[in-house]
Amino acid sequence: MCLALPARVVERRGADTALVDLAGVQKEISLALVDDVAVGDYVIVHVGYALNRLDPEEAEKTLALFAELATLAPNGSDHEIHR
Amino acid sequence: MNTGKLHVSAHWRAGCLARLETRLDRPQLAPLLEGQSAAQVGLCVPLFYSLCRHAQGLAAGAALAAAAGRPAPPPAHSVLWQETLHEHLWRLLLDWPAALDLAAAPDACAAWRKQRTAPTPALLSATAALFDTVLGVTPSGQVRPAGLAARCLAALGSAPALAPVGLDLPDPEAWLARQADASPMVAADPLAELDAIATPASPGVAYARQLANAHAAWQALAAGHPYPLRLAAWPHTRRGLAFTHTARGWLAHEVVLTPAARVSRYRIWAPTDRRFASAAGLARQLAALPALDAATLRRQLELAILALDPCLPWQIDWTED
Repeated sequence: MCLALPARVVERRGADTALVDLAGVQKEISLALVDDVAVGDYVIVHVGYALNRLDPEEAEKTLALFAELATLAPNGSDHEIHR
Repeated sequence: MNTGKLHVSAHWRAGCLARLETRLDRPQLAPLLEGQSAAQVGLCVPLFYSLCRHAQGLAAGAALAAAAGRPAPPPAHSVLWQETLHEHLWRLLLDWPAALDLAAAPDACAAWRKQRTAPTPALLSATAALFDTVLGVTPSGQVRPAGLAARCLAALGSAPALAPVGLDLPDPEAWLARQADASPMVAADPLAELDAIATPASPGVAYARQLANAHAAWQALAAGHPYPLRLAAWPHTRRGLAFTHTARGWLAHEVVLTPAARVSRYRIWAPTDRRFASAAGLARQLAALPALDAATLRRQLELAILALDPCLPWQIDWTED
């Protein structure tokens, strides 16, 4: 994804995979591109890969911004920019 | 919340593609930024982005400073070149090989990524080794027959590009002067000509350009070149505009401030928005192909999407009569 919504690691599954919670949706991702990720950490996910591990304070700040963004969209969800 | 997706709808009827449409869904940031203080916006814009956060932060900081009549903050040139190089290498090592049924190089990609926090000489050494041993590209840009780059080019029936493409930034003042209406985002893009040059005509051309642009970013990082940035300021209206470079093309931020230094208008022009505002870039690539069956054309559509390099996940909705 281009937008950096932090995902929280909820379970490690093997050496290189993890289950993350991304805005309430759980999905399995690869940890092959990052080191030392533990349950509870926040990561940025792009096409199934964790890209970066985030500082928890920055992750919370970013999540708050995205929550605010969601309230601005119709029905609290995404809206279309253009066709 | 969903952070964005590209939908490509294609309808196959009577042996040909009868309809091809794109729809790009992603949240609009401007309403969140408008009304906030300039300082707050400068801090929060980079937090919204993942792949291009440093370029977004650079464009935001420069546009805000221009609108306030201040000099732009100095760019972190090395970090910005690294970000651009990372995006190119992700495509060259992971996405293109996978799309061409060739072995991708995730371990090499991971190893290079880990060097990004190392001192610059170590990063440059790792980058040179990656280009040499994995991609098979020399420091002068020559493609050797045994590397991953040569295999991808062969699979695409393409030759290496001679020079990077799409690195020029528009002139901000001329650009804004030509943009007569103030419609949001990309509805009126006055630089269609520049984008037409940068929009690849085929997946093979796109791959060759990506390789040339990755090589250029590597060399710029090694030489310590300044990262591209152009800006314009209209102090009497507290308006600032900044253009910078990303791996996918030029990026612009425009801001208008109130007398109390709050944002009254914010606009962002991003490469993915331009390239997928319509299906024209995809249709152009498919139209150049010979007559194909449905399955083969669908595969070509996948390559055409990758060639236009969207920065977010995509989905093809394929229907047939």
